[in-house]
Amino acid sequence: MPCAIRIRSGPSECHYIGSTLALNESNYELSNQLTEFTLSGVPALNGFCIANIPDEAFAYLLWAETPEHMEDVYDCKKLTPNEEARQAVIRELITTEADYIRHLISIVEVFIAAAHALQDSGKLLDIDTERLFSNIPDVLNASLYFWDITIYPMIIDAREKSAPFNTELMAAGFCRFRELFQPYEKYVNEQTKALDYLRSLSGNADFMTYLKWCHSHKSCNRLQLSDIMVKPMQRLTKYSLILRRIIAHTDTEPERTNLIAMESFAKNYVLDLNRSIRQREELEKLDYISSSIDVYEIDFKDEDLDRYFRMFSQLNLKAPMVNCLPTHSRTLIHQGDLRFRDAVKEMEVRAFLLTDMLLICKKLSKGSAHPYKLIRPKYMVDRMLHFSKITTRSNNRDLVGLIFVVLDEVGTAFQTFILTETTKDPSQTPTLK
Amino acid sequence: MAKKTYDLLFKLLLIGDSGVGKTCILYRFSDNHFTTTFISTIGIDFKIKTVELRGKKIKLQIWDTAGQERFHTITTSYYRGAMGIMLVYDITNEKTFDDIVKWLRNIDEHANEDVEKMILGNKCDMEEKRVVSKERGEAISREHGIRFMETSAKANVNIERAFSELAEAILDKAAGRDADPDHARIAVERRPSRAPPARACCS
Repeated sequence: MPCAIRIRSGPSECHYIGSTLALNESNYELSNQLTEFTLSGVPALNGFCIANIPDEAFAYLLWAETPEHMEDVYDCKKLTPNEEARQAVIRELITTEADYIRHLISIVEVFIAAAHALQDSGKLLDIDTERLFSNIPDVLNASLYFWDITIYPMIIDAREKSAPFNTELMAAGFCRFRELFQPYEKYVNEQTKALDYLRSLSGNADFMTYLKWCHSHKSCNRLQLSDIMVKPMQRLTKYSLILRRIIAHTDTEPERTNLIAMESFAKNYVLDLNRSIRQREELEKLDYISSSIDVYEIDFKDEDLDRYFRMFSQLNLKAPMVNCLPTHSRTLIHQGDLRFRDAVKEMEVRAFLLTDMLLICKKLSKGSAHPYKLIRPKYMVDRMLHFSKITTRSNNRDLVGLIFVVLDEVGTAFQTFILTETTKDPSQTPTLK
Repeated sequence: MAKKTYDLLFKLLLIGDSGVGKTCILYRFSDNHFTTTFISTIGIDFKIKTVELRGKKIKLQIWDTAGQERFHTITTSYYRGAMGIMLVYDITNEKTFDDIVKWLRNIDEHANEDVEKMILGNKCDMEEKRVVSKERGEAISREHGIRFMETSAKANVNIERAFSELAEAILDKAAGRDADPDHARIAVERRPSRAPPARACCS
């Protein structure tokens, strides 16, 4: 292992060490304030109203984190092995939920509260806490409400009766899963950007001092902010998995039927969420393509022709697809570098295959307004036929290219071209299907 | 609060189609070391095992994605923080092997650029049911410049080795950057401006 700090020569490094020292001085006050937080606690987060749930429900959050507490609720020796296995999964649901909520609380009460308190005294002002933490306070409240109407009633019941946990009491909460977990949608949608932002701050000395202080806080359980920030996504996917496991051990009615209903409430919501994020990502990709392809142009050597042509030369990648509902949006299926040849030209191209069209583009030199330019009119997929071009070299039948014939509305060919693997960079993934 | 008992923390991730044995691999690896005081399986997010490599205590935090394949857009958020990814297929199931390419594309899109990858062909104890030859596994790994191993969580073949090779690769990469995990971090480490380390050349 090399020495602790690798000293490299070079002007940028010298500058860096210099600025680190300067930062250390201005950092001093920040560290003092953080020490103050350690001694007397972090000031409460201004303007945050924690979920209005009974104090006892809060108290049971702490209680549930200790698995032994739950084993003492009822006499598990009286249960059949299958029922005990079932109860073990239910206990796992409870403990892991309490543990999860505690991590959310630590983000709000330690990370966000400390950041705001520092900002109130004029420090860390360059940090956009909204961007970094998104709506975690709302996510926490959502989970607290869920706890209050789903898990907490089941714990109370079991303790009052000294009986095993009754899953029927979770039904009210899981039925409202979609409604209760609604704040997660914003969080899940924004968290990739939040994590990118967190990473971009790693060069900010004040922020890193603050972050290191937060990480040393015992409520983080030695997890880092980036670990805690992905927990809501992880937790969301777990409910249906845990319920499925409980169902596997359940053979009594109406418990079984009701648990299956609860599972589908949780699962369907997360599947929908998954789909909506995916759709958004696809749309972002389409936006990116739209902005990186320059339109198709023809040099008519005639001012009027050029002008009229350009009036209608937009790419229109977001225009509705023909014969589809407006809700069906076009997506990028594949892109790759290929060699293109038609009657006019043979050249290296970047091909974009979208749901209903193929775009043949050439790469533009760096510094151009767009990285690509469309060099042929759009080819609509449903107007194209393709044929394999095969060579028989040394008895091997190898696919070397795809020949496309483009037809008009009445089925007459008006264009044909061939796409083969690019000869430029063999490490590129071939795009021939 | 327990004191930090490790020198370095590596975050690893297990991905692959459902049913390829990700959780079994994880448990085979971690539970030889840990007493299973909890029956926890799906509720927990990750398992931890501390290994020693070149005199350094390395805490491996291994995130499982089993059961979550259907929600895979959501789970790509895990990819970000991972320093190493185990990409698992099942040698008795052709489709899980075909999907490796899909998973690789996913990694390219969502993981850190310098993440260390390894492909595992699991269930190699089931020779009689094998449909994916070892050569094909090796070929696809070579094509993408990634380490490859056939494993069996059931018969305990190569599990330990796979994790320590992956950890070692990360250690090699980290050696230049994380000199002292506690003191150097704030000032020196992880500056985004520094050029990423050169990728292994595979052409």
